Amino acid sequence: MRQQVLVLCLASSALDSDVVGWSRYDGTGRTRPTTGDSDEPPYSTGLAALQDGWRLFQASQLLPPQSGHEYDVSFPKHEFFFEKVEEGPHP
Amino acid sequence: MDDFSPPLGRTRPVRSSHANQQAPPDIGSGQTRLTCPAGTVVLLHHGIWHSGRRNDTAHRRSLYKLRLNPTVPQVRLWDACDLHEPAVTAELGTYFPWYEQATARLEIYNRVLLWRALTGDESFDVEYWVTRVSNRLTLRKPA
Repeated sequence: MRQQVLVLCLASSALDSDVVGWSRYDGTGRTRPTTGDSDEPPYSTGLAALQDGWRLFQASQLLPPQSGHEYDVSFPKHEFFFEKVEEGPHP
Repeated sequence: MDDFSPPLGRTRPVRSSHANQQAPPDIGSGQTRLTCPAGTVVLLHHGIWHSGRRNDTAHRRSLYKLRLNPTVPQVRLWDACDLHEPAVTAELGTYFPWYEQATARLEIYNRVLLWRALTGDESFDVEYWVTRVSNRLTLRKPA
């Protein structure tokens, strides 16, 4: 069993909000995608990925900023991990 | 010099990251692709976090890097005759599609702080984002 993993950073914690960042990794070894490989996101929203058969398996925990850092910017907060699982041996 | 093209790998800056507070190794997502032909000159703030994309060829990628380090505060050390043009405020208030909804306001907020530091103008603001935070009510001593 091998995983294809899709990481989508969304504009908010709502799964149907817009994709603002993305990357893909291929556990089957057939392709070697990595972060920064395309100019356009593979899906416009997280929901669109679900509708195309990707299974959500992790979402970012929502954490309030630390005291004194309420106005600092940081890395994308709303990161969702999706998978497609393929049966069979490694090629 | 070489092209910055997909198979040869490229520099991957993280937009706005010179104002971020986290350590660079935390960043795996949010990187952008710097794609340009050989001979291109790219100007980057030295605090912009970036990485190098994996090179999928046997060819070694080469480039020149020149680092400029100011030794005095960079306050109005340029032609500042147009500081009060509306285009300045419009540029500093630009939203981009890759911003999260909540963080977009913080990006503007931090741009205002940067612009105040560059111009020495402590009254500059965009849509009152900094003013509305700093202009808080305080208790006044009774007369």
